Amino acid sequence: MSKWSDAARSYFEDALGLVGATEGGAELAEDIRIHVETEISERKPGLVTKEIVEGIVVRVLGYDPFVKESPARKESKAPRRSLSEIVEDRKNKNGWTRFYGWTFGVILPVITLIFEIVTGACASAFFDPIPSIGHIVLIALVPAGCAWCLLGIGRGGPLGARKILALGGTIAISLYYTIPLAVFMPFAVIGIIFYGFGFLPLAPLFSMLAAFGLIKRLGKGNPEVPRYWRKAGVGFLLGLLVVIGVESPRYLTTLGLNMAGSADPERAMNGIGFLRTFGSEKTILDSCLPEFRNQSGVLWVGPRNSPEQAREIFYRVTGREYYVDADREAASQGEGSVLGMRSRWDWYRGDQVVGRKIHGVSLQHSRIDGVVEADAAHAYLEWTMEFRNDTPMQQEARALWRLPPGAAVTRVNLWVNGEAREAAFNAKSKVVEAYKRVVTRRRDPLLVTTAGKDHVLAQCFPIPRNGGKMKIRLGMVVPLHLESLDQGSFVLPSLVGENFYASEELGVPVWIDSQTMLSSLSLESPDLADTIRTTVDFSDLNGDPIVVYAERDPELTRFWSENPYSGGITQGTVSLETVVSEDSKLIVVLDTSVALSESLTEVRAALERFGDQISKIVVVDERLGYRVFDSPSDFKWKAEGGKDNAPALEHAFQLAENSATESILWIHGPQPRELSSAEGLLRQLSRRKNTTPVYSLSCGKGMNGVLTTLEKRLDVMSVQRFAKSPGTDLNSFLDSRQSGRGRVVINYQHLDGSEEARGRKVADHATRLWALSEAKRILYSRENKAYERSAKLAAQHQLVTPASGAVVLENERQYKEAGLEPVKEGTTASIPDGVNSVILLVFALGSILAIRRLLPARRDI
Amino acid sequence: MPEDKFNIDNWATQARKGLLEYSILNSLVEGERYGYLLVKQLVGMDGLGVSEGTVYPLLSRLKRHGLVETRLEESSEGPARKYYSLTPLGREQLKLMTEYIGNLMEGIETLKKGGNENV
Repeated sequence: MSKWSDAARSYFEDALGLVGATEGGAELAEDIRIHVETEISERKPGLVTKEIVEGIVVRVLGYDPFVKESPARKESKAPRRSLSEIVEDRKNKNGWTRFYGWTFGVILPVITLIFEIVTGACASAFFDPIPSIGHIVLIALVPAGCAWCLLGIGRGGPLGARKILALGGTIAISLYYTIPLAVFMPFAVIGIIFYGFGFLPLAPLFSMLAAFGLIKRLGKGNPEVPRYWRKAGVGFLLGLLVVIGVESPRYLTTLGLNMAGSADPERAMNGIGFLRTFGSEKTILDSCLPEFRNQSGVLWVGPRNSPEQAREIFYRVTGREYYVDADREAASQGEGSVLGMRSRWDWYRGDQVVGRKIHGVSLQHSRIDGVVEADAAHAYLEWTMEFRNDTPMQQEARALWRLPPGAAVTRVNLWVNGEAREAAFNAKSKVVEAYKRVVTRRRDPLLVTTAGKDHVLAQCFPIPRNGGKMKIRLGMVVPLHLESLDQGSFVLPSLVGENFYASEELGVPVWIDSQTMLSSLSLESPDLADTIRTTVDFSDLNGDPIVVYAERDPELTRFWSENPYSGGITQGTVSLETVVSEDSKLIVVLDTSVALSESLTEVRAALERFGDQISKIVVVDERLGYRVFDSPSDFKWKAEGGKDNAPALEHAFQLAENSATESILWIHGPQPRELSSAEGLLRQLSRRKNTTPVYSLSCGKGMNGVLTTLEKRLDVMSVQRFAKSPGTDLNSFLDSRQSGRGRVVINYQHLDGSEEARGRKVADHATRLWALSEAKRILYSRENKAYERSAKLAAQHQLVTPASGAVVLENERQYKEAGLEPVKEGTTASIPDGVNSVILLVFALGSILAIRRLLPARRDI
Repeated sequence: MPEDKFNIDNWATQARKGLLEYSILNSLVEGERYGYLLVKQLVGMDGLGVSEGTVYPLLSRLKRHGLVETRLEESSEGPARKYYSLTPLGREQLKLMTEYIGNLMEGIETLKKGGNENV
C-alpha cells in the first residue's frame, strides 16, 4: 500500500470537502474518493504526492476544485465561500466537537464511574450499576470509545468504520444506563439549576448525546455520511449484544432462582441444577442480602424469592451458608464499600444463630488452659476469650464451638467490672428467656446453649462501643478416648463459626497440665513431659484436629469421686471388652453434599474394605430424598451443593426398626439449614420401638441443623475425628468394630453413701461425666417429665446439655427477676491453682539459675 | 455566415448528451457493475467521448432520481468498492427509452423510404 504525504492527504481532504460542500455533492465526493484511491492503489506509486492526487482529482472531476467553481455550485444560489472560510469553519466545528466530546463523552463518565466505585452511592440509594467487574468494563467502554474517536480527529485523519462502530456501541451502553436513571433526571436538572451539582445521574444521557453529536458532526459535509449512520446502527446492535453478554449471567440466575423457588418440587430441583450450571453465585448471594436484593440490576427485575428462600437456594446450590461468602466479600471490598458499611449492622442480635461477621468486632485475646487426669479418663479445659468492639454501637459476639466428642460445658464466666461472674444453670428455655430479656435492656448477659451434638453456641452482649471490651470463659469437662488401657486422648475444641473477626496469626496460648506424660503431634513438645506450654495460631485451632495424648496407669481400673452437688459418690470402672462383629451391622447414611467431595474416594474405599459390616447404604439424593444400595460399589456418587439429609436418615430409622442389632452410621457434612420439615424425622424417632445407636462422622466445618433436631430425641455418638481426612477416621472406626478387636469401656455409677468406694479418688469431673450421661439417659428415656428431670439434674451438676443451658447476668437482682440462681463459689469446676503455682515456681527457679549462670560470663567479657 | 455553418462536432455533442444516460442504463442491464470499472469503460468507449467528471455526476443524478442504486463493499486489499445496479424504475425507464429510440429509428427509416403517405 502506497504511503500518502501529508500534503497529498490534506489536499485530497480539502478538495473532497469543497466538492462535498456543494448541493448534492456528498455522493460525488464519495465517488471521487473511491475513484482516486482505487486508481492510486492500481498505480502503486512509492509515495503519493500532492501532484499525483491533484492530477487525478482534476482529471476525474473535470475541473480544479480550488480554481474553478463546480457546475453544481454555479447553479447554486448560495453565496460562494472561499476555501479559507470553509477550512476555518471546519476547525471551529471540530473544536466544539472536541470540547463536548471530551467533556460529556469521556471525562463525565470516567468521574461518574470512579465515584460509584469508591462510594457506592447509587448502589446504596437506588440500584447497583456495577454489580460485577464485567459491568465496570461495560461502562468504561463508553469513555474509551469516545476518546478513541476524538483522538482520531486530533490526528486529522478520517474516522474509520471501526470508530463509528465504537460510537454506535457507546450509544447502546449509555442508553441502557439512561433508562433506569430517567426517573431521577428531573431532580438532577433541578439540582444543577439551583445547587450547581447533579451531573452524575445525567452522565449516561450526556455521554449518549455526545456520541450522537460526534457521529453527526464528523459525518456532516463528509462524503461518507450515509455509511456513518449505517455503521453506527451496526455498532449499536453490537453494543446491545455486549450489554446482553454482561447481563446474561444475572438474567439466567434470576430465571433459575424463580425456578428453584417454585412450589413444584420437580421444577424447583430443575432450578437448582440450572443454577449450578448457569447461575452466578454473586447474584444468588445478592438476593440473600436484604440490602442488595432489590438494587442489583440496571434493567433487572429481581427474583421473586424472599431473602430466606434465596439463602436456602444458595445453600442447596453451593453447599455453603450464604453469610460465609457475604463476609468474605465484605472483607475483600473493605469497610468503605456498601457491603462493608452494612456489615457493621448485626441482623441476628439475640438470635440463636451465629450469623454474619460484624466489621469492627474482633477477638483480641484468647487462651486455652487445661488439666488432664488420664487415669480417670477425663480432662477439664477452659477457653477464655476477650472481644473488642470498634463500632459506634453496642454489639453482640456469637460463636459456635465444636467440643471434643462427649464433652459438656460445665463452667461459664463473664467478666463484669473486672470480676469473673459465675453462671446460673437451668432449663434451656428458662436461660434463653432470661438472656433475651436482659439483652433488650442492654445489660450484660452471656448465654451458652447446645447446638447439636458436641456443639455449643455462646453469645454475649453488649460489648461496649468505640473500643469497649468483653471477656468470657467456657469451661468444659472432656471424657478421654481410651484406645488402650495405657493411653487416652482428646481433641482440642475449636470454633466452627463466629460473628467476629480474628487475625489468623492471633497467638492462642495453650497450657495443659497432667499427672501423667502428655504428647501431641500438632503442639510443640514441652520441656516438661507432663505439661504442654505452647502458643498456636488461631487459624490452626480451627483447622485439622489437634489431638493430645496422655499416658495412664493400665492397672487402674477403678476410681471414684465425691458428688458435691447431690451427695454420695461416683464410681468409675474401666474395662476391656472384645468386639463381636455379629452384634451389629451398619446402615450407612451417606451425605452427597459438596463437603464430602474431597473425602469421596477414601470414604468409598473404607466402606468397600469393611463391606461385611454394612447391611445397606442409604445415599442422600437431591430429587428422590434417598436411594438405597447394598454395596458401595453399586452406585455412582457425585458430591455437589448442599443436600437435605433428613429424608435419608428417616428411611434409615425405618430400616433399623426391623432389626434390633443394626446401628446407623451417618457420614455427613455441615447442614446449616433444615431443608425439610423435621416433623417426619421427629415422628419416626418418637415411634421407634428400639434404641438404634447412631454414629455421626462429621466431614467439614459448620453447624448441622439435622443434628440439632436429632439432639431432641436421641444421643448421637460422634466418631472420633483425629485425622485430617475423614476417610482415615472412618477406617479406624470400622476397624475398631472388627470381630476380636479390644475396646475400652468406661462406666460411671452413682452410689449413695452406704456403699464403699473402690479404687483411687479422682477429681469430681468424674461426677460431672456421670451426671451428663444420666441427664441424657433420662432425656431420651421417654419417661414421665423426662425433659424437666434431665434439665434439673444437669443444672444441679452445672452442665450445659440439650435440656439445659447457662446464663451469666449482671447482678443478683437480674438473677432474682429471672428466677435463677448463680452457682456458688467453690462448687465450680476449675483448673487447680496448685498445678499452675508449682509450674510457675519451677519456671521462676529455672530463670533465676539461668541468670546467675549468665552474669559471671558477662563480667568475663 | 460562420454562425450559420453546420458543425458536426456540435451535433455529435448534442447526440452524445442525449445518449449518455441511455448508455449507462444499458451497461447495467446484465447486472450490477463495479463503479470504477464502469466509468473506465464508458470513458474509453469510442464515440461516446466522455470524461470521469461527466460520468460521476450523471451516475449521482440517476441515483437521486431512483433509476440506479449502489452498494458499498469493503475490501481488505484497497478502497471500498461501489457497485451500481438498476432499480425497477430504472429498468422501466430504460424500456421506455429503448421503445422511444426504436420508434424514432423506425420513423427515420420510414422517412428514408419516402414516408407514409397516409399520415
